[in-house]
Amino acid sequence: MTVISATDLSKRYGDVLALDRVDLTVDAGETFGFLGPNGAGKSTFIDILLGFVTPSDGTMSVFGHDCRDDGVAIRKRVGVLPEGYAPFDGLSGRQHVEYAIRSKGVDENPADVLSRVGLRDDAARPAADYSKGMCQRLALAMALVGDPDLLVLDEPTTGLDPNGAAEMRTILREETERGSTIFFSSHVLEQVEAVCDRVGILQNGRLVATDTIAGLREAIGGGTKLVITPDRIDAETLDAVSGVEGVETAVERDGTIEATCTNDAKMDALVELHDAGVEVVNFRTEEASLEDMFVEFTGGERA
Amino acid sequence: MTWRVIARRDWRLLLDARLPKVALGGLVCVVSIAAYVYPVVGTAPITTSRFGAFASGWLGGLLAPIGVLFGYGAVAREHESGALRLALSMPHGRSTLVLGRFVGRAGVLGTAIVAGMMIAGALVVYPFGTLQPLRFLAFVLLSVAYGAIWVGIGVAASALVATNRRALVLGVVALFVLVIVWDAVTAGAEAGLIAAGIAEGPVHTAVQVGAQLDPGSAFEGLVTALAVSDPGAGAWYDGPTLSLPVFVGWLLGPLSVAMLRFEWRDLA
Repeated sequence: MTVISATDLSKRYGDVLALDRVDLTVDAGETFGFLGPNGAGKSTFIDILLGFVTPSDGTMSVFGHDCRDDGVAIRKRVGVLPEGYAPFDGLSGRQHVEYAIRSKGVDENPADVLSRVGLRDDAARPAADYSKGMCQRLALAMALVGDPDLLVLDEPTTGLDPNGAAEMRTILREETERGSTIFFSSHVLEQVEAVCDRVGILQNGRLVATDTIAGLREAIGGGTKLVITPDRIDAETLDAVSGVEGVETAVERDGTIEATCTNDAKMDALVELHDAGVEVVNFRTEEASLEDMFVEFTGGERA
Repeated sequence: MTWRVIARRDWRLLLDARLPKVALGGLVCVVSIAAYVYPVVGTAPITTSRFGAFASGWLGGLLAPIGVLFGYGAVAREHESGALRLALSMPHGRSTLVLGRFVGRAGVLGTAIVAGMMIAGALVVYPFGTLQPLRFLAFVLLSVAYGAIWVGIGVAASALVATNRRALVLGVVALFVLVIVWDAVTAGAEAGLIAAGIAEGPVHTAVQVGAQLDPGSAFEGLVTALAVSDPGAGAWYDGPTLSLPVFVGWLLGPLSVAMLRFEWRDLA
């Protein structure tokens, strides 16, 4: 069953095309990662999904309901952790969760929900005094109220320490096991790689790739990453590697050249460096990470 | 009925804040003082319905700024901070959100008005006054509705703009135009007509009607009609024939326009 369906979705702000004819479907039970560099249009997509903005063209529906015309029906089944939000003035953490419980018309114990996100001991404090990480936990708690069929999480790990991020991943796995669908937007690629079944990569408003991580790896020629430690790195060195047939990208990182390429191209790249007068001190091959694939699909822009 | 959840939250927030509490305390004090003074300086008969006509000017002048003060932060404050995104992530429609905020805030002000009027009613009746329960009840309800008009204007200003400062400016401009400028302009027009020797006719009627179209004049017109024995006497534009629809229009109009606008605007 399709949970999220965007068809030919565009959004224009004046002269800026924030989304350009995006087609995307997310099926029930999926954990879908939504990636893109800053300004790619991720937030605009989610704003349309939540009914905050109206698309200039195209349609988006969730559970078969149009996002703009039937937002309330959608949000009855959706838990949202929005980006760029602030807690309500004057309400404690517990009162926030109570508000979510009353708003969704469900019967839950706020203490249980707050315990789940690790905020039980801080429940009585004003949420305005919470740290960024605590605010993220609180918003996640509000999103989890009512056992939503879809969780929309926009940069959910922002402000979380590694333990907090791990706890959030655990909660997301529990939600997936319960049968919930998760739409996860993040620029932390490791987080996406750890929890998502499928990812979409957005760049300059266009969806440039949508696939499983294995599928993306396959799409860039087998997904091998060659990490070379040369005796020197300059523009000519990088150009030499980039120019080899089968090499998709070649970037410098921490004194090494990281090249995503087909298996056949690995030896050619090393020979090309040798021919260019560059001594190869060391080299190794790795499976391409999601970040490598992201760089490949976005032409070098980092998330 | 999720507007109740929103109204309840706003009710609590407003009562926890210092400035609204000071404003409400001041309102109750002023109403009580007016009721204490009225039997002393008023002319006989001393009745609760005539107290309405005696106090409507002061009350109107006080309720207008308090209403705007209560309303202007209803939406814009959270729009600016980002809390609006959290509020709208819940299954509330945008209009429901604005309605809930309005009901919560107007409810707090209305409760204070009712409390003040109960004290005022007792002070007017004891020891020599007369309680006219239905007319006094009507006056209390009109006062609550008048407070709600100004809360609605404040909430409308809040829903129409994106920052708290702009909402405050818009609310204060509305207050200034409707309370001060309106009276000054219509009084000037009337003086001009008198100077020109125009005492009747369509232009004269238009100016007289125009003078009754602001919320304060509509409120005073209705309160005066409660106090007089024959509300139908005098020109039609001085009575409830005009002031009642104008009053209802101010109660529903600004909020409806703002809800409609807020419903369809991008909140990126």
